[in-house]
Amino acid sequence: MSPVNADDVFEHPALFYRTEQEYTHQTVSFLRKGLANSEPVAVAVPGPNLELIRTGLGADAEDVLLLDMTEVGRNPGRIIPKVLRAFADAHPEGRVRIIGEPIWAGRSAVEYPACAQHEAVINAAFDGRPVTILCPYDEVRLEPDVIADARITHPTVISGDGREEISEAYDWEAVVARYNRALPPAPDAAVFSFGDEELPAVRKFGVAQAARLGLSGVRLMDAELVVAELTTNSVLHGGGRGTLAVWADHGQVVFEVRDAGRLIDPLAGCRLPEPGQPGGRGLLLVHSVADLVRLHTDGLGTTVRVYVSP
Amino acid sequence: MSTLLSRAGKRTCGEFSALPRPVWGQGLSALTRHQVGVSCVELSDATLVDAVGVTALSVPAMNLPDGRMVLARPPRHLLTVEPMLGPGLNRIEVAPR
Repeated sequence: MSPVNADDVFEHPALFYRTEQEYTHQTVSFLRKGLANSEPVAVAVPGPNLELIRTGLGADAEDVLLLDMTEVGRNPGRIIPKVLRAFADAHPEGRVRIIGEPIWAGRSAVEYPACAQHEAVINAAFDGRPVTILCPYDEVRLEPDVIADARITHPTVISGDGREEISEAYDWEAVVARYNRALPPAPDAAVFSFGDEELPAVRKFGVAQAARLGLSGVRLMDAELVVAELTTNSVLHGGGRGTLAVWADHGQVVFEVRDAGRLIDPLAGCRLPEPGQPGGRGLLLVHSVADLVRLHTDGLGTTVRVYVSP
Repeated sequence: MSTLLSRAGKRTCGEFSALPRPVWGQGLSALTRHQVGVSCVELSDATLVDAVGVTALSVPAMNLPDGRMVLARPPRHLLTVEPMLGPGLNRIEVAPR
């Protein structure tokens, strides 16, 4: 067995902050360390916190990629492939340093399970890579359960005064399992059962329902891709057939596909396939256009629920 | 899938998705087998290009001995799906409608 090279260790601390001053001081210090080491540095946090960091960095902000997480990470399932991996892969030489804040006080109860699972699977996605990702958590405005989950999804935690300690609760796979929650059928959904012969028909059905519920233009085309990818996955990998349900929920259109398959890879939809690799892009594509993706899988089958805003 | 008259390439119609793949996969392979220069895949009559479809389009481009592939007038879906191919596929050029 070859020894672990310290330079290749993935570092994933949570930062628990209580004030804007703590937030600015700890995040800017973290970034300046990276800049001093000539490390590529990126920040993806909600807009108001992005301004705190931008102001704190001053002229150094020009050397940092600054992204609003409420836009690039609206769907937590695309943060790894579209933000974190995209930046790390673009800088393959040496350590990369990123601040990622995927969980903020405005996240809904529907979104949160996917957010927690995202924080968990980061540990698998970057295992053995020279990447440091600091994840700030607002200890004042977030629920205690969220803070407790952060101790399970991060191997170390940093307090507002900068003290770093090992998290004894660290067990990321437990969070993946805990939030693999059943998704009960919606009572008012329009439903279409399909097999391989019905793939064009189920896609037309999904598009018609999406248009009826308010999607149009590019978002209607995105919805068609969502339905195409999910139903194709059911035919190819989910027992050959499935059921599509479509309904409206708080201004979004929801597409749900149930089939008999079992999704065992926690990183499904988060990996970037090699060029020319024949499969592995369907769920990645769904994540890229959706506002939220919820998954449930067990021995009886898999449910994928996708939320698309107009 | 039919051969273009005015330039090297193929005209396609229908879906570029997983299940009809055997039908158009062979045509794409033949397109680039001995091709040098620019090959065109005319997609104005295609109704859907999904993740499997765009991947299949990329494979012949990667195997071109020399030259590049132009995906002409594709359905709007392709612009969403094409970034899934990842970086490095500079042999593919998309010519929008």
